[in-house]
Parts: sequence; C-alpha cells; structure tokens
Amino acid sequence: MKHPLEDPLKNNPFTAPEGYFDRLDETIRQRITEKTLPVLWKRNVLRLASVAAGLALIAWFLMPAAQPQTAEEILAQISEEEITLYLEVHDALAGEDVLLPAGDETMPNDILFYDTILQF
Amino acid sequence: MDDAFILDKIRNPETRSYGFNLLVNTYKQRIYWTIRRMVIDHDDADDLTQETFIKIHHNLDRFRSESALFTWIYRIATNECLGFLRRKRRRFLLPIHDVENELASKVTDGHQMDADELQQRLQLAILKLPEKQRLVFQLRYFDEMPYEEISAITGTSIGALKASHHHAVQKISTELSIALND
Repeated sequence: MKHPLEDPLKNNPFTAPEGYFDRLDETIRQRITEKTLPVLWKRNVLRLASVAAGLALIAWFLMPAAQPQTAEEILAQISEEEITLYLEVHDALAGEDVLLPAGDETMPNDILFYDTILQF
Repeated sequence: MDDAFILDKIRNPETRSYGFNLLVNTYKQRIYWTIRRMVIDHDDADDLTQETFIKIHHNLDRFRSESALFTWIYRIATNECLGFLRRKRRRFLLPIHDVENELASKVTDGHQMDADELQQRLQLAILKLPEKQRLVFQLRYFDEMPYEEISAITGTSIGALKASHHHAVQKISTELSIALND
C-alpha cells in the first residue's frame, strides 16, 4: 500500500483566475504609485462604516426627541426692558431705508479689491 | 532570476524600479501559492500577496543582506498570513476551530479548488493542524523547502521544525487512512 502522502497529492488543487499572474505586476505597480490604502484596511473601513451607521441609528431612536421651542417660550426668555428698547429703535428707524449705503464711494473700491484677488 | 542580480539592480538608483519588477516577477507565483494554501480563499490570497510586495517595496532600504533575499521575502509573506489568520480570529472572537471550519467550508464548496476527493481530504486534514505547524508542513511538503530555509523564515530551530513536521505527517496520515477506509 502506498503512503497516504504520495507524490500525486502534491499536485496543486487550487486554481487562480485566468490571467491573474499577468495582471498582478501591474496591480502592485499601481498600488505602489497611488500609495492607496491597504485593500484589507479598505474592507475593514466598509465594515466599520456599516457598524457606525447602525450604532448611529440605534442612538437616534434611543435619544429623547429634542422639543422645538414655541414663539411664546422664546419671548418668555427675553426681559421686558429688552423688548421695549427693541420696539423703540424699530419705530425710530421705520421711516428710513437703512439697508442702502450712505454713499456710492465704497462700492468701486470693493469691486476693485475682488478683481485683484481673482487675478491671483 | 538570480537574487544577487535582482539586488544589484535594486541597489542602483537608476535601475531600482526595474530591479523591483524583476523581484515581483520572480517571486509572485511562489508567494501567492504559499499564501493561498494558508488562507484558501483567492481574494484573501490576492490581497495578502499585494500587501507582501508593497511591504517589500517600502522596506527595501532596510534589507541588509544579513539573510537571503528569498528568506526575507518569505518571512514577510508568512508573517502576513499568520497575522491575517490571527486578526480573523480576534475580529470575530472566534475560537481556532471556527476559523478552521470556515476555511474547510471553502475547501469543500468547490469554487476555490479543482481537486479530487483524496486531495480534498488532504487539504481538510492539513487544516486541522495548528497554524504554524500547518505553515511548516506546507513549506516542507509542497514547496520542498530544506529545514535550514524554513528555520531562517520562521525563526524556529531545525530540531523543533523536524519534530513539528514529524507530528504533522503522523496526524495527516492518520486522518487520510481513516478517510481511505471509510
């Protein structure tokens, strides 16, 4: 009887995809040039990302929902003095168009400055 | 391709890239098959082969010729393999026999191998060995590597390697004898 570990068993039973070794040199060269992340690490990142997404979802469901504040609640936090002052200033300015600049002199300078930035 | 010739090209800055290409070309198949026998799955073997050659490339300046180029390359490749299997166990908190079962299922699913029943039985018997003993057995049996070289790669004494290999052969022979008598 032959020994169980006879020579024919040394034949390689595994198979590699066709042309794999022809492409391998180029793949390694590209990986070295691109200095990409290790393939195994990339796979782990995907696994970690899915785990993180799952944890975030669980945390979102478990956390007490933030209660939006109503206008009355916000106003209740402001003192009466501040509200009065705001209304007085608002009334005083109501007749003027404060959004327009006092003169046109500042505008050309601003545009020039912006052009200078674009030139660089 | 002669290692001395490859090293000569690598050490010359003008031919370094050519020298590295020669190194990849000379060792890619041997390294891939050594890794493949350890991890069974082609995609894993592909990843680990690429990682091995990238590590070799990044550490070429550290190679001081204290060992043979061949030994140094194999040491990096086998460390990658053992590290991968260790991480696999740790990541899924799997005991050793569960990793063995996962690899065994890849042997029997028929996608990874074109093997007859006896070869499949041999692979399954080999998978039952502890990882380092499996590595030693495979380097000796399939690659027909001398103990001196395996010793330089694994950092284990020749005496310990011979004992380990002897036990591995006994275990596998017993497994195969049982399988043949089924």
